[in-house]
Amino acid sequence: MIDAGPVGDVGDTTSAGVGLDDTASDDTASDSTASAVLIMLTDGRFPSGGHAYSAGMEQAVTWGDVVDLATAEAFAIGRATTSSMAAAQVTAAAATVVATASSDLAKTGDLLDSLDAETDARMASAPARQVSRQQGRRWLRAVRGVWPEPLARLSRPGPAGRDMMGGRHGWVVVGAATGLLGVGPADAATVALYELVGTPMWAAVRLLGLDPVATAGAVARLVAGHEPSVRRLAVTAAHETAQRLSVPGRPVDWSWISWSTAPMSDLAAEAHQRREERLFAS
Amino acid sequence: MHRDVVVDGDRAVGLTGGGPSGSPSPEGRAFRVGIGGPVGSGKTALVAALCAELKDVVSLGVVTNDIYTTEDADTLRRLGVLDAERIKAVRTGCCPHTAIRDDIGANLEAVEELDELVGEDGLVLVESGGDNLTATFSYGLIDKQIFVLDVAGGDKVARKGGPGVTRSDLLVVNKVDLAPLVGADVERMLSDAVAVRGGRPVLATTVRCGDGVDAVAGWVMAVRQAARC
Repeated sequence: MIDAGPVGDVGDTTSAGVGLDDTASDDTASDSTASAVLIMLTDGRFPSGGHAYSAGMEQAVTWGDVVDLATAEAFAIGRATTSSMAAAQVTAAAATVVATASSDLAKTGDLLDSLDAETDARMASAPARQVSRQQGRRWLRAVRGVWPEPLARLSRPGPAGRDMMGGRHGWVVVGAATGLLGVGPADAATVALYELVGTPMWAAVRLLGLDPVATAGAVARLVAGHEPSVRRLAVTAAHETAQRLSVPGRPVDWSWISWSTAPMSDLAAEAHQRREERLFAS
Repeated sequence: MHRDVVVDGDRAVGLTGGGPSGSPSPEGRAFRVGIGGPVGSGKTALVAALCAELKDVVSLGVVTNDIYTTEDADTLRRLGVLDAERIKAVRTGCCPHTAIRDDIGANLEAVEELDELVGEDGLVLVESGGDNLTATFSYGLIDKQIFVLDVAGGDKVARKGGPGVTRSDLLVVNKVDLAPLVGADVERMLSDAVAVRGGRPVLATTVRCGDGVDAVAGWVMAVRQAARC
């Protein structure tokens, strides 16, 4: 059984995070490896396809809802206060599932299936679900190429001859990958938060010609402002998942994952998909 | 009229392999050729002409990366050179060079989807969005790349160089018929290009009239054949 970390203690979640084994979390070398993974995953140059997405910003600009840095930041705050909750919890849950049940491939696959279905249920727009799976494929291609050995634990065909990580939503892939790479759930949730607010903000730089330094300042404020709550949610989610997995035979219930969404994001995804002249994939 | 200025595939750049070390082996999948170059130089026209020239010779697929991606795909579909399902459009989020060089996942996804249709003996052309002279393809995405310039873009462009001009596997100088109208010195442009390319081939074309397309198609088929030996 894996220790999911001190629940509620957001200050020390990296070292107490869900590792692949119990000893790794106390190992300084392992921690620094996890830090390097974290830096790479959030680097804009990491080839996971992020440059092609605007997370609804292109549509918001088209509608005239976002016209400058202040309105772009307001758009990103909307994401940080709604979608980020489920993103943090799904990411943390996937990381915990992988770390806890990785010796039982069939069980891991079933759990990731159910987490994937829960993610579907939280995305009202079909185009948004499609984009989320596309992002999952692109993340998976990148992390498998960069860290082939740890990722191979879930790459090999499972008992039913299926790929445990293929075809999943983006957050499930990010969660599972961070779990395999020894990144703790709180740090994994920070990655999710950074992606959630960074994707539309960096797209706004290209769409509106915003000052990149001022935009980076806004991203820093957004992440700093929302990180504590997102990390707390992730630690609780990891703990909740680990507890439920620890009871043999008990069906895993994900209903506690946040249902908070932003309806305008779903509407934007629908409108964006129908447009002919669009530059971004979302 | 077209001129084969240098078509010497046996030079150091070679016909075999796929560019620098670490490039993928084309074994078991279609051969991939990237076509890049500045806006308006004739990339889409060249892709359409190559499809028309080669469609009875080899199984073909095309990926387009235009900023308004469906535009090029629609042009190709309208020309009827390929079935619609063999043309894929990739959205690049205002970063055409990123999508072909630094973060190639979306394009890899598109070429892999085409692989199933095209078959392992086929040919997939990947057309970049119009970009600048530094925009080249990653050899993680393609096996060989063609860079397309046109004389109307200025005859100094070849001398200025940049990775597209100096490092591409084939440089095509297009619209040579316009040279007298725009005051361009084609001979100078071609000799400048040859000088900066270290023996890599250069071809002069007027794709709109079909001039030189057969030579480009011949080069494509030759490098594809050589990669299979």
